Amino acid sequence: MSLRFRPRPDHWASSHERARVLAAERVDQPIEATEDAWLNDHLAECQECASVAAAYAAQRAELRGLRRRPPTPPRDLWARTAAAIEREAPATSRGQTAPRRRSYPSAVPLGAISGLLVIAVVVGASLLSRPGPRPSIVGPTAIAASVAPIGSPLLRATPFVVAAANVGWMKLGADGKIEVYDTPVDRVCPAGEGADCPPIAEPTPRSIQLGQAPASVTRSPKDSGLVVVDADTKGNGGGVYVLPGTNATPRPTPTPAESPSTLPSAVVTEPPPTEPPSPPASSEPSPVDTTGSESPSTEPSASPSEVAISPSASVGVTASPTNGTIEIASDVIVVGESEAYSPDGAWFAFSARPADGSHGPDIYLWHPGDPKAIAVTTDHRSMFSAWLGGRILGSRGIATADPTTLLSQAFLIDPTTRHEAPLARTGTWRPSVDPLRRVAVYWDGFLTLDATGTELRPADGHLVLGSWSGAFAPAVTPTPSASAPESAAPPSEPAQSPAEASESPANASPTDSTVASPVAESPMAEASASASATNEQGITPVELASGAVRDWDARWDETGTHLAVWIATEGDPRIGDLTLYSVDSASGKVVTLKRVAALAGFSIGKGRLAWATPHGQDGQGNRVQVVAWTKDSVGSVESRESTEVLVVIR
Amino acid sequence: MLELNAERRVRPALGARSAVSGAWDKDTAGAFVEQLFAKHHGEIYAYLVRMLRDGELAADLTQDAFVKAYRNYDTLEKPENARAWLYQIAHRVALDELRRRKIVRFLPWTGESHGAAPSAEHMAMELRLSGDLQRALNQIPERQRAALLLAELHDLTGLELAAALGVSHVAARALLTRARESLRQALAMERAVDAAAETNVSRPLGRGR
Repeated sequence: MSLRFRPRPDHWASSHERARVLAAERVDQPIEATEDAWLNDHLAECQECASVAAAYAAQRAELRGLRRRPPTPPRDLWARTAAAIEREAPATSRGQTAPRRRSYPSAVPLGAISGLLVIAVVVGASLLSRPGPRPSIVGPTAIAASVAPIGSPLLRATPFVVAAANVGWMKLGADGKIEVYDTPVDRVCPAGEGADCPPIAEPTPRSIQLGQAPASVTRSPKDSGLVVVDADTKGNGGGVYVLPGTNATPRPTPTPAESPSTLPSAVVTEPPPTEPPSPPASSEPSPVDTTGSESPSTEPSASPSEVAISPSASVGVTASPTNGTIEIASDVIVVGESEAYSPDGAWFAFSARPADGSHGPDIYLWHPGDPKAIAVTTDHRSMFSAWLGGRILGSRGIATADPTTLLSQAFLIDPTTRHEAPLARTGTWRPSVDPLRRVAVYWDGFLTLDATGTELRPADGHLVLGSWSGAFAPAVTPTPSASAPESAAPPSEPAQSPAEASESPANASPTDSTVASPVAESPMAEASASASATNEQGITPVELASGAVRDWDARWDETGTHLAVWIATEGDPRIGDLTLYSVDSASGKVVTLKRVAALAGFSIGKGRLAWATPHGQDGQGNRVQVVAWTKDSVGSVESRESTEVLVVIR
Repeated sequence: MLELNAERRVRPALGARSAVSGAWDKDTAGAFVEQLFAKHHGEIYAYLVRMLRDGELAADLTQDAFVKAYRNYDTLEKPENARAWLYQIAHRVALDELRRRKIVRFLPWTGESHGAAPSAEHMAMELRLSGDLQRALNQIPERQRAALLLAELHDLTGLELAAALGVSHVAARALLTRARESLRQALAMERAVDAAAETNVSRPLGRGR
């Protein structure tokens, strides 16, 4: 204790000096009882000392008030630091000082900064889930700076074969139609060899006709059908279209009774089949507003609804003769970048609000075969976060005493019964949980409404990767699920190489048998699986971003070892920074593997990450870039340059 | 010195040494700093911004601090002290920079958002709320300022504070006590100046009535 070094009471210059020192000490920690009593007596008699003591207390509160706005580090700080360390690494002398790399001027958009300072830093142990030398993820050809990882082996100079999943993208063709590309990525090049790497093969595209250019495209894992969110949904209001895939479920005839949506009616462009399947939700209580009073428009949309599917389709999505495109939502603003198919492809969920600005967002759900999407929340402050197994993981803004601040509350919805179960912990916005249900990306903090009162935005807080612990388990006991088995199942294709599976610590976890069980019998069983898998983990949250984070998109690969997070820039919400992380969900260790400037909409899984570059990146046109990894190697490849904006199919 | 067990050899942890010799090893150091960066770069950057009132400079010095950590990681004896050890490096880097550059100008720092300059309204509000506090902080001795920031904004415990400042626990407490008094006086002076300035501004209006 410091007290034994303090002057004895009779050594103080004055009792006032003693009182002030004690008052200052008492701000930090309790003082001895005798000193405390003496101080209280003195302060009771000495007005001046009492005011000093009060000033110390007020000072502390003011200082702590500065915490509310922590400075945000530049997003390229790790890139710069890694580069400095890399320069330091070969030096044998410890006394050498690494040169500094100044930040870019603030006037330069962050996306451009990231693009210019893209760093490929790889820790092989994390990437490949095994010890030993670290392979590298390297930047594509045009990346300005590429830094080999510390201790990385020399990289091969020739392209190598990977077994990554197909990569698909869309772009506006010369004839005004949308060209759909879908091609395998089987060859990538290691670091520094991008210039010699042949571009991604581009087979003859399939052409489709859309009224507007796409803003995002999502592929069904079930039948390869596509959900296209058109660009107007990011502006004045647009539509969400479904292009059925090879094994599409026939659609029923749309009737008002089957479409209790607050969204405008969908338009069916093809004759319905004769035997439509019953929508699973139709027999269950639903929170959907069936009055239609809050619908922005109950009339069928007059927007272009007829989508011509080219008969020349040759790759990827192939329209069957009886299937056409349907508009499952119209006159909407699609909010956030989290739209996704359920792992089994049985459902598609997204967040939207009416284009007329009458209210805020709700979560919408579409089942293949249904004519249109249905709102599954009606509070107008809810957003779809991600799928958690077969259930919707959503989050909602809850009013607080401060009218400008909202608290977030995450919840689960069974897509079949529409039963909603809030999660115990509040303050968690738009969580995206890893497939092993150990960790999640979420906004840890408060929300605010924009000037129109319809858009929820993160306010004070941080985007973090934290434990998906038992604290997130449902706060109330859910009702028994009526979900079909496939709706609760995890992804049917683990898509993990045997080598990766055998070497991944996560896969060796005893909890995996629970997590990877094919069917969770009930929501509670699923929640229990979550809790049991994570209660003992308890990692320290890792901050991914803070400050003015307007929008983001966080998605995991099917192994839960790779996470990609796209964060919109403040100036242009369609452009952002895309970061690939390696995550050890058991230890919570997170390693940044790659950071690039990217358009919204990326695809991660089955051994590769694909994204589209913004126009002008590195002085070039639009390209699709892919980073792919195998057991032993990591490399990248990119498409040919395009003058048109490219949209990667998720 | 911390001895590694087999698991740590596989996955270097904070404070880990070379699996073979116990000497400085660049791979282990790299993994160590990477882990450290992921956990602490935000707070280290924030501390340096608060000390220096310059985001660009703070970013540079944060980079320097982690490079120094990489270079000297084997000086960390206990992994549980990594945070304080890192603050100690950052603190020294900051003091060196302050001494070297002789920063005396006042750079009002009002927080930072992602790539967007704060609005004038925001600036005005922030300045009104914290401007005098920031100016007062800038007036007190650097070591006292560091002690206050580390204790109040970065939640360093007594022992961590002492380690970060490179002094004994007793000296750290004494420094913190002196810092509180210095800040109280500086704040009182700032507010007196503000009050006087407001009086001067309003005086002509009063005469006109």
